Amino acid sequence: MLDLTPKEISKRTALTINPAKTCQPVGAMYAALGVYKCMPHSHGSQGCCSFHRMYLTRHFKDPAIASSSSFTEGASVFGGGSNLKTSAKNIFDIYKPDIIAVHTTCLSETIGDDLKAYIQDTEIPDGKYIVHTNTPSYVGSHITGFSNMICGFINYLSKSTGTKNGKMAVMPGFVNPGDMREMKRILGLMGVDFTMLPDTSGVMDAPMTGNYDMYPKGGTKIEEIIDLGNSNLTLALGDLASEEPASVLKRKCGVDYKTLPLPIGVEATDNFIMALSQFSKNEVVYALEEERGQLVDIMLDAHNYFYNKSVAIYGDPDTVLGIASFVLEMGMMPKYLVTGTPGVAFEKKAQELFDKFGVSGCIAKAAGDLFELHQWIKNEKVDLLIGGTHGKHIARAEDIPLVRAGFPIIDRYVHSYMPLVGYKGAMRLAELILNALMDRQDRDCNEEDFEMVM
Amino acid sequence: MKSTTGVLAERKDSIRLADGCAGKGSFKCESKSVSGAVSQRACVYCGARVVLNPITDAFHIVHGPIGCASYTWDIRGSLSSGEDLYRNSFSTDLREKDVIFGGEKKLSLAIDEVMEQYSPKVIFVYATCIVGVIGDDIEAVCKAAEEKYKIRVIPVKSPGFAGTKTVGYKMACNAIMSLITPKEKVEKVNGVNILGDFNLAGEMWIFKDYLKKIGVNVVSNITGDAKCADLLKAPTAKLNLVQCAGSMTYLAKRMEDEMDIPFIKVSFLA
Repeated sequence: MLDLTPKEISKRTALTINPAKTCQPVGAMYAALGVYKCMPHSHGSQGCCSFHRMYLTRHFKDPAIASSSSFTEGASVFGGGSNLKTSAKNIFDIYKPDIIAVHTTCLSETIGDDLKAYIQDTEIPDGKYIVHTNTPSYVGSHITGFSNMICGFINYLSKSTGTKNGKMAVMPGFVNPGDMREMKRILGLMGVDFTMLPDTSGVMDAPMTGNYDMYPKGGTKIEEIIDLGNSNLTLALGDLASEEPASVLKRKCGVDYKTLPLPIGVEATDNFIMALSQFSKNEVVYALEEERGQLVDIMLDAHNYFYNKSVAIYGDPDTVLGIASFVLEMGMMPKYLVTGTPGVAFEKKAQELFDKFGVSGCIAKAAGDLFELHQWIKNEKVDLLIGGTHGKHIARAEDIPLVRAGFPIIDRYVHSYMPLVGYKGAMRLAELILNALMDRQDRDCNEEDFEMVM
Repeated sequence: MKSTTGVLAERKDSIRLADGCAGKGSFKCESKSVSGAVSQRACVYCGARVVLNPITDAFHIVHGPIGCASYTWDIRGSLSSGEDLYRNSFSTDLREKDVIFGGEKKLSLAIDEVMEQYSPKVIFVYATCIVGVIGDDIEAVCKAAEEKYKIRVIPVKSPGFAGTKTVGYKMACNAIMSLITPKEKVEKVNGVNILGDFNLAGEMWIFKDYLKKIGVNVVSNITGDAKCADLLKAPTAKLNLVQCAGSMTYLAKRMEDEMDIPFIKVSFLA
């Protein structure tokens, strides 16, 4: 198949080949898993629920639970109201969550199910909650779904009592539990009192204890989501995923917000930490200064192995932009940036990055697919690929090393426990990039150039 | 591990726990899922896709939003001895505008774009939930494409909500029948078809090897490591061996009625 990608690029408007995105509901399911004792509920055919759970489990290598309304033809004609009511009863009876987070699928959206009305008509046990969000799969991508689910939680639960609680509301963006842990560690070091929504650390990277817990210990608590309305400030990381919920919180509860790109690389992490320092009025602690110095030291030490190498980065928009920013800092050329998520904001931000670092000849495309990326690479090769598992066919066909960073990574382990954000994350990313490039050099060089010391 | 949750009343009979629920152990196939179950069951489209996807040199275009295609992108592990075309994922990626105004034009254009770049022998077009609801007439689009390009373009009527996975198998079998039914009567050869093995991890190759050793000729594989040219020869076989009864008994029965090929259920496991 790898040879089936023709070098000649023909214009395609109707056919997507090898997508670089997926649909909204899986993002919503992931966001819902980041709330403590929450059961994500897929209001649609049972296939959707299974596919989404499977996709998440393959990436995190951890169970992803969710229930389904199990639509049939009858429901598609008469509406899914009774499915939802039966589901709610069964879920609270059998699985006993504290909250059910319903997201819709293309089916329930198209038949026009009014979830707000259904939920209002449903009997909810005392002290329990049901929230919903609309996630039609033919709009946006899984990032949109993730963002919509957080908006759903805020719309239903967050309240402002008038008294600020001194906390920062942190929206981490579409990142792994490893990234959320790292963000929390930095927030802790900077003395910031915060609530993170959603927080999948301790849920999708839960330890093996010998017992199966349907609801692991991690996740944002419901009381914290309610109290979000009293936050002093919202920090929305990864604007393309987090701006919308931050703005919803502002409209509903008057909490001001600040958006920043995902803290990947030196400058982005600097900006993140400075925002925390401004909030907590604390000086930047030495531990973080030291990490920054270590990162810069590494970049200087190893620069001759990555300087000027060209790289193609594909995946989710915030992650791609974050990694692009870091590789530019390293002195590499992010020749092709591709995301499947539609939206010109991505292309604009990418161009701003290219202009800032003074690089030319780089292409950024939103609503692209991996087939097109492969064709670009066939015409003008790159030295490195950075992205999820689906690029491995390109990597093999064109014999280019692939560094796995982003979503989904379904053919490797450990990655979701580790960060890409923060100085530590950048050090990890630098290590992955260097190992890939230097292994390749060791593999391909002449015998006389095969060095012990590099 | 001790059980930490309850059990759905409707499922009690089918579950036996070492210390707990002691159902009578009955299977309940083809019954609909209970709403609210943390179910791992899949939909009609999934059933159709897993049966047809191993056809190695056909184009599989998923007509629907991006999700259906991206979740089923090369996840089956079914191996090919030749073409790897089926390991790509093709979708019409329906957007909001297409859902409102209809996606038939986009599907037609997508088929044109495929024909521009490749010369496929067969194209399968899968319908998904949305297509079932908005009423895209994919049969008409496929027929028009067949007339235009003179190759088989076969619609698979598999909207996800229309039943369970077994309905998907049926739709896939209908699509296969549509592909292989010959226009005139064919001459029989001494050979068998293997139905219901999808060559996961090379199993089909192992069966074919055994059969070769005992001198039995295999006419076509349905559908593990299948090639369109071989599938078209399937009506010439004298016997069908059905490995996966769940997905293929329907096809075997149809082939018996319409092509005079008897079948036996076999199992190569143990």
